Order: sequence, then structure tokens, then C-alpha cells
Amino acid sequence: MDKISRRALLKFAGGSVVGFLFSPMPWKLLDDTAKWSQNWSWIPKPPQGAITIKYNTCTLCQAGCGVRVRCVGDRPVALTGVHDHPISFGAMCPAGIVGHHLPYHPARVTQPLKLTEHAGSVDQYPLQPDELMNDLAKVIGEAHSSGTSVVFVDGQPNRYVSQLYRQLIDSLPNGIYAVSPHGDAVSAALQTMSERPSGMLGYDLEHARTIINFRAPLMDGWGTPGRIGQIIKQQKKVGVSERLKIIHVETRYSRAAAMSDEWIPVNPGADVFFALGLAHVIVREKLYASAVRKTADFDDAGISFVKFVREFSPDVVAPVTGISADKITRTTRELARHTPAVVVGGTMSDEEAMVLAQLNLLLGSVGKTGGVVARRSLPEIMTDRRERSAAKTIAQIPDGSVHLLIVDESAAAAIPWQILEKKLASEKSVVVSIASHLVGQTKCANYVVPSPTYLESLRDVHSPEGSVFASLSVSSPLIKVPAGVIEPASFLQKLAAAAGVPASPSISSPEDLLKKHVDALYRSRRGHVFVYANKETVDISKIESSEQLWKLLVDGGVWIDTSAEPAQRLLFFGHRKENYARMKTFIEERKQSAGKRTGGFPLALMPFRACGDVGEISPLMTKLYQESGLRAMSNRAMINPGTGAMFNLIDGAPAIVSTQKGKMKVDVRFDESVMPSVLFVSAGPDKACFNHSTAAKEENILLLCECDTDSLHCATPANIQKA
Amino acid sequence: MTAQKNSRYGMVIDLDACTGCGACMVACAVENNIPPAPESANERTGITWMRVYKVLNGKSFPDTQAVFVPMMCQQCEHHTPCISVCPQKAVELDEESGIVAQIPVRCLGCRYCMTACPYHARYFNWWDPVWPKGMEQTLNPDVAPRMRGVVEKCNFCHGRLQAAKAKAAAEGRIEIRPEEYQPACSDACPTNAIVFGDLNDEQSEVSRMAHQKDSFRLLETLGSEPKVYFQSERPWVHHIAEQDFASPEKETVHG
Repeated sequence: MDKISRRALLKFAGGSVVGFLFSPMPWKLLDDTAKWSQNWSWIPKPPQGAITIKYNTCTLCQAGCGVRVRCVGDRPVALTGVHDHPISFGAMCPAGIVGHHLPYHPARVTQPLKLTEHAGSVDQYPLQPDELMNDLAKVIGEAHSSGTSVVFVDGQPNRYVSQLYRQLIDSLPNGIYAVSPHGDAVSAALQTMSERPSGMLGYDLEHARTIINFRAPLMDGWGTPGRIGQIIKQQKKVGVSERLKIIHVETRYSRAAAMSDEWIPVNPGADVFFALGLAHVIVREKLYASAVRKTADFDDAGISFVKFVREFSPDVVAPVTGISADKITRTTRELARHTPAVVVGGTMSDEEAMVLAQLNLLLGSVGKTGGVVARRSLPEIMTDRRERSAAKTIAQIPDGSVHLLIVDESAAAAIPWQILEKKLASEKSVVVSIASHLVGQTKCANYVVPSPTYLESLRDVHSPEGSVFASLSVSSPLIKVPAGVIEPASFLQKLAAAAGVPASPSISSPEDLLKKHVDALYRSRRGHVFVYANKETVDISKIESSEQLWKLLVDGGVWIDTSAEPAQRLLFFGHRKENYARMKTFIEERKQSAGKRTGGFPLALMPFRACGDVGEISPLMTKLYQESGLRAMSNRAMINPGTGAMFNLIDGAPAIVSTQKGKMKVDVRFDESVMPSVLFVSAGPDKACFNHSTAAKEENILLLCECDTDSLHCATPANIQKA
Repeated sequence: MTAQKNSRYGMVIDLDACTGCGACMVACAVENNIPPAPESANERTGITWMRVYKVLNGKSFPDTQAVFVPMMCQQCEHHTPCISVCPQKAVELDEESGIVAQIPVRCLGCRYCMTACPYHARYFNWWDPVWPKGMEQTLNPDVAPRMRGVVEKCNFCHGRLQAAKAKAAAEGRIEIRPEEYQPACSDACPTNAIVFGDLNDEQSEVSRMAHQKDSFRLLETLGSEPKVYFQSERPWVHHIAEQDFASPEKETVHG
């Protein structure tokens, strides 16, 4: 045998390497290594168990969509809409589809917390319930001795359980029950204009031919997602000339604007002048409904609507609104020609809402098919005068007068923190947030009372925003409440007891209260019930007892009224004489502030957020906010590319926004749809709302914005520069 | 509809009815056990089998118009780009349903298919799938979560097709009814903008709509015969058919 030479060894080694490379082995090794490094035991295993279907009602907002719940064992794993549901039409919004994740949200609060702010982060100290009650009882005592107030702010005041809250707060010394601003301000304004007290009003959009919408998120959470979806579907089936026309008036090219037939981009804060311009043309060209002439204050010697709108000719309002006089005139004529026409508004001040309500009156849409219709009220069971005391709005509570402020989590999401802070009497005043999750403004509170979240407690849902008929549904608990969580009513009862207030004999549990209302509804013999499970509609006369009605509702059903309230007579300025003067003052103030820019702040900063952008949302909503550009996370700034170039900004790069209140870092995106010299910044959720650290204090653009007395953020003079 | 007779499942999406609400995106994630994003994920690295893009008409304020375009795997039928490049045979065209299936256990994670996909509708698992503590109890028991290092994409909720077939079999049928098989996105759409069904069934709504004059497909000139159609009455919207509008969002790192 020849001696193995060095050369032969090298040749063999080289040949082996080449052979190995041409064999399937490297490929197999690479493949196996990839798989070994991918498959780990900690990859979650889906739950196993019996699959059942249950029915419920969504309580995440006022829409009250019907929900079909697919459960594995006792855990909901999927929420879908209930087909043929008369209110939600089988649809649900994204937040509702993932509502069953909320009990497991990383920011979930399951025991009372004391919060302190330290170097930009929020330190959390768990408390025992007794410790919390003792601390708060002391604060109530201090409020009593100092003559300051204890205020509870309710974000969803139309629930029955709110009556219980009101009763309990009224029983406390210096207790005040307050509510957050109404989402449908136009409807609220129409109520104040009616001759007699009336229930809430709804919009008969299904029969309207023209809708002129001022900032309401019509396709973005307004009413129920299914109702708007149904209208869009129906429109596709009719000829182009017969279709409903939607005109959207808003500075921002929102989703509602994108889905409308026409977008009218008014200058920031000038919507009210555009509406007054429309009213002026209607009066000048006598395009109003004939019955309007009979309205007492239409053209009275004293208070006169005609006189009120006389100065707002299209030529006068055109420079303020940025819309040409010709366009204002043409839009008005189109509105008057394509009737029934209805005017809808989003969250806005009472005065702005009154102008839109007056437009509805002028167009003759009040009490008419395709217009504004009054809903019948549900039967009341609380007749005691104290129980029915009028709720105050947050604007009616004097600044510096509150020692203990208790805020419901939906109110905490709706009212700017600057407004709440101004109400506090001193630095020693205390803010308590009743919340299920430690997100958003809840972090600004001194104490957090952990409350049940969606699917954990019994809740009632009343008529959705803008609905024509009254409705009532009940959400029953499907998930066990974690130990340590306190029902808000129970918290208020304990608070009253800790403060030494004797319990009122009429105070009952939320379930008893709901059952009493359902019993009153049963005895009224009004309406019918749609049963989710079998899609049947049962007339209330066919229901044998109030217990049966209760069972239908808690097992998945909705009661719906069958008729609306007769039309009320309205006045342009209502019965309160001061309304006229108030409106004149408001308009004068708006004239002064419209288009105002102060030195060094050449831009108009407008914060925006969509429905569902605030409060608790499922971590899976990262799909919309973080993993795609569909919705904007907090502090994302949208600017016109031309304006951006003027300020040397780069698309996608960070920048610093400054106002007179301070500075904040934002993430800039250029957007052709943005009005030049306007800066839109999202006040939507930040990363903490999904699944990340809850300790950091959130920086939100709302803190840099100015607010008016109605707790609404206004266009704020601002500047921006590259970070 | 007969699954045995080689169906061609497809969609018609009415872009005039899509409000861009995103219900389809979250319904898809719930159905297919797609996890929430880690903190560092962004528009490029996130996983959205269904993603709604806002596409503008290219005009400046105030003439800007927008359309919301739901985008998922277009289920290409001819020379399917991802199939042709996969070295692992991890992508297959199911002849019986016309669905392009992704097989995660075969996937090596080379991401060649992502490069080949003209619609940017494929997603790579950059991280282990993690749900917040307790939330794994809400997973869909019919779909296994995928592991880090593999590519995934829309499969028209294939699990629902299997469930519909099983239901039909239990009732002594071979054919499945149209309402028995609907993907999560079309089920969740509040405006019924997404119409799903068998394109081979001439009686189906989806087949009728696909042949309407307002219908078009994206990047049709590539010849890959996608089975997702779009519809709009607005002429400018038809111009997006030749645009690669997903690229800026998927391929650009902001900041």
C-alpha cells in the first residue's frame, strides 16, 4: 500500500468537501437546524374543551351590538355579530371583535392602587380595600369641613346603574353627580329647543336624501357599525340619481370624509360659520320649510333668528371658513332641493350644536320621516325627587371647588385632564379613577378602584346614538371576575358607609335595579323582543311575565320600541331667554379666535382620535395601530408635504411640536389630504395600551392643546421643528 | 357548490363600500391565532394576513380622495410566484379548492417567497408567538400557532373549509353550502364589502360580481391570475390596479 501523501490527503479532503456540498446533507442540516431552533415548548397551545355558543350584548360603547360568543369550556374564544339583529345587523367594530381579550390585558387592575408620580413614571402601591376606604373617608371628612365638594363624573349616564350611582353620590355630604359631554350634542340641543321636555332624538337616516354631517364619525363608530353599513349596502341597490348624498364638513380628511360623497374642508374652528352661512342663504332665498314662519322666534320683534343670521352672508363667512361664497350658496340650494335633509353633528360645544339644530328646524326635518325624530323614553321607576336631581355637566362645576373627584373610566377617557385638574380645590385634593385597566388618564389619578371589565358583570345598554326607536339590552357576565375587583356600585356603597352616611332604604344592587326596570318595561306593554339565538321577534304581549322578559334579555335579546314620540314644537332659541344672548356672545368670541395665530406659532394644531382610540383596547389591536398604517398611534403628526417642506421636516422622521403649554416629540407623516398650515396629531392609544409597560407616564398631545369650557379641545397655535 | 368538483374559491371586494374600519384585520387575527405585535414590531415586520391600505388619488389638498383597499394573499392560480420559488415545497396550490396553502412545518424561513410575491402579502415570523399572560386561553382551538422563523399568509381560513366539509359529511352530503364556508374577514365586514364564494359556480354572487364591468384585479398584467377581484364605480380607483401601493408601507422603515 502506497504511503498516503500530503497531496493525496488534501485531495481527499477537498473532494469530501465538494461531495458534501453537492449532497443533500447541508440542505438537510440547515433545514433541521432551522426547525430545531423554531419549535419550542413555550409556543402556546390552544385551549381544549367543549365548544358552546352563547349570546350576549356588547357594552364597550352605547351601540349595544348583538354578540355571538363561541366558547371553549367556559372561555370565550371568538365574538361575532348576530345576523338579522335589528340594531347591529350582524356587524361589530374591531374593538368589539376582540373584546374578550380585555380581562387578560397586561394593564388590568385587580386590586386597589395608590399612584404616585415620580420622575416621569407612575409608581403603583397596592392597597387593601379597607385601607382605600379609610383614606377616602378621611378625604370626604376634609371636604365636608372645608365646604368643598365630592364629585362623581359618569361617562355613560344613560345606564340604569347610573341612577344608583347618582342616588349614592347625592347621599354624601356635598356630593355632586356630574356627567361627561354628550356625544350627540345636536340631539341634546334640539331637546333644549323643544316646548316641552322630550326624550332623546334620533336621525332617520334610512329615509333621508341628503345628510350634511359636521364632524360626526358617521362611518367610524357613530351609532352602530351595522346601521351605517346597512345604509351603504342599500344605496348600492338604487339608481345613482336616487341615492342618499352625504356631505361631510370637517377640516380633516377623516374616514367619514373619505366615505362621503362630498368633503367640505372648512378652516379650523370655522364649522359654525359655515353652518350660519347655510342658514343665511336659506332665510335670504326663502328655502325654509313653510311651517318655520309660524315659529315664534323666527322673525319676532325681540328675539329673531332672521336677525341673528342676517350678518352671515356667504361673502362674509367665505374668508373665515375658506369655502367660497358660491360653494356655500350651491350647497344650500342642494340641501333645500334634495329633501328630506338632515343635519348631524359630532362632539361639539352646546352653542355650535344649537346652530346645527336650528338648521334642522329651518330645513323642516324635525319630526319628519327622513329627519330628526324623538325617541320615546323608557319607563322610570325612580320617582323620589332627590333621586331625580338634575346631573351637572363638568362645565357647570366651579373651578377649584372639588376635594374628592371620582371619575368613571369612560369619563376619564372623554374629558381632558386639564379640565378635571382645574376643578380641584388644592394640591391635597384627591382624584379616584374607577377603572378596569391602568391606561390613559387613569394614570393621572391618586387612587384606582379596580372595576369589572367587559363580559365580567351585568350591564344594561340603551338606545344607540342617533337611533330612531328606544331599545334596551342586557349584557350578562360570561367570565368570572378576578378576586379583588370591586363593582362600582358596591364601592360607592362602601364609601358612603365609611363616610358615616346611613344607607338609603331604596338603594339596591344593580341586578335588582335592572330587574325593576325590566318589570316596568313589561308592564308598559310596549315594543317587541328580538331573540339572538333563534332570530325570532316576540311581541311583548306574547311574553307571559316580566321574569320571562328578563330571561330573554340576559340570554341574548334586545327590546325595541315600535313607535317614536310625536313631534314637538320647537323654538329657534328655546324657552330660555338667555340662550339668544349666549349665542351672540359665543359667535363674537369665535369671530375673535377664528384663524388666530400668535407670534412664533404659525400652525393650527388639531388633535384627533377615532371612536375606540381611547380607554382599554385589546393588545391585538396592534394590527390596526402598530403593524399597519390604518390607524394612527398617539403622537403621530400628519402634515401637508408642502408645509412639511417649509419647516424642513422629513417624512417618517421625528419632530418637536411646541405650543404655549410646552413641547412634545411626534412622529411626522406627510399626507396630501392635510390642509396647508394645519398639523393634525393623533391622541389615540400609545404602546402601553396594548401590551407593554404600564409604568411610564403617557405623553399625549392633548396636554399641549387648549380646551374650551365644554371640555373640548380647540385648534391651538403651534410650531414644529425637526428633532 | 361542490368541493369535489374542483372549486375556485375567490373574493370580490367592493372598494366603494369598504370604510377602512379594520374589522376584517382583527377578525382574521383572532381566527388564525396571529399574536399581538411585540413592542419593536412595525409596519414592515408585523404580521397582518389581511391588511387594509389607504390609497390616495395622488392629488393635493383639497382634491385628495382616498380608497381603502383590503389586501391579502391574492391566491394566484397561474405560475404562482411563491410556489415557483419555494425550495421546500412549503407552498402548494390545492387543486380541489384553488387555495394557495402555506405549510409552516416545511418552511425553512428563507423568505424567497416574500421577495417573489408581487402583492407583499406574505409575512415572516420574526419573533416567537407570544400572547399576554392568560390571553392564550382565548386562542382558536382549530388553528395551531406558527413558530418563529417561518413565513405565513392568508389561506382563506382553510380550517373553516375543513369544518364545513366535516359538517356536510356528518349530514350525509358531499356538497357544502355557500353560507357554511365564509372566511373570518368576509364574515366580519360590517358593510358586506367582501363577497366570498366559488368562482367556478356560475350561480354564485361572487362569480356574478367578478364578471361585472367595474371589477378588476391587481397587477393583472403579470399573468398570475389572482382570484381576488376588486370593484369600484370611481374611475380613478381602477388606476390602483397597476400600482404597487403596498410597497412603501411594507418596505420602508420610518424614523
